[in-house]
Amino acid sequence: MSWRVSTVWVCIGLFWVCLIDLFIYKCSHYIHLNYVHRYHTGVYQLIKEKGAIPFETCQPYLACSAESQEGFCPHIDTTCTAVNTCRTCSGFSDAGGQCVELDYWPNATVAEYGEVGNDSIFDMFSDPKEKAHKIRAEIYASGPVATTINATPLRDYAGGILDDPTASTSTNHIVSIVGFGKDAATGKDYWIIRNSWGEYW
Amino acid sequence: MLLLVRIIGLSVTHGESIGKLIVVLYMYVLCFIYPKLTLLVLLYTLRGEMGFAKIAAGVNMMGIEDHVAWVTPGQWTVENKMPCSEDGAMCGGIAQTHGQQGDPSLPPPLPNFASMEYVDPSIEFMAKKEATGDIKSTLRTSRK
Repeated sequence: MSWRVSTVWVCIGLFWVCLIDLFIYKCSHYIHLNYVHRYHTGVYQLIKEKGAIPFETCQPYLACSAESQEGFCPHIDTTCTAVNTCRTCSGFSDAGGQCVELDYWPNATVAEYGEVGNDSIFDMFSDPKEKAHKIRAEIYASGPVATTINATPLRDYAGGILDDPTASTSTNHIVSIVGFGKDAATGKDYWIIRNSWGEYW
Repeated sequence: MLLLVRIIGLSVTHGESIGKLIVVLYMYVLCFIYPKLTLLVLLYTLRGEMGFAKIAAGVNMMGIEDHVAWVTPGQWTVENKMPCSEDGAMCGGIAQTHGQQGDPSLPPPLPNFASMEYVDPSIEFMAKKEATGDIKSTLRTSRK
């Protein structure tokens, strides 16, 4: 689920709104059909082609994916419907309350999106320092970006600059890069990333 | 106990060695007997970054530089001049609550949102750079 959060957090860094994650979850089959499943630009494509994305208060984030079997996750309605896009509930059902879909909801749209660097697959083999420069320039000029990452080493992260040359570059997660810097003591360049695992991580 | 196990950098899960479990229990008992040691362990090990992290740059650490995506918003709502009621009657829900909330033959009120258009700050940045002759084109090579 966290690929959805980090992808939308790019927008948060840009204009300080919190957008709904559940919308992407429930409509993500759309991404699968039209683009690469669980990929940041797939989320942007979804938002652009659907027209807009509602703010998070339409439905708060739930840590469930379609395949989740934990807790109440199997009981969540994952269909991409209007009531699953933005809803309000007047109270508990045994007291006469009910949930209804909203026809109009505060929202944000995507104007354009893309990847830093070349679209070519050979961009993966270009000079890492040159690529890092392009990423810094993008962040400096326009704000946070989303990126794929191998999250396995992050599980044991306890602070400082994570620098493990033995770590695989095969990615399985998405985070936001919100800034960059240079360590004063070691002179080592680093990215500042925002993960979706929360403050308790 | 679990927190302590976490902060001393050890995790014990099903199937791991009994030796590791003994070390964890030993540390737990030690910290329980000597509260000051617990504080020292906490100060030394709790170095979390509140949901953030630093990753080495320029070396494609963990594949972080392979697929970096950018996005710019078109517009976003900044003001709702006709707030929705809890039952949704003011924002389209009236038609779904027929018989409970009023006359469904009446059309729902139209949205009255005020939105803000996004202005990419890089436009100004690039304009200044181009004016000084530092660059000839934008940094972005792909737009969708």
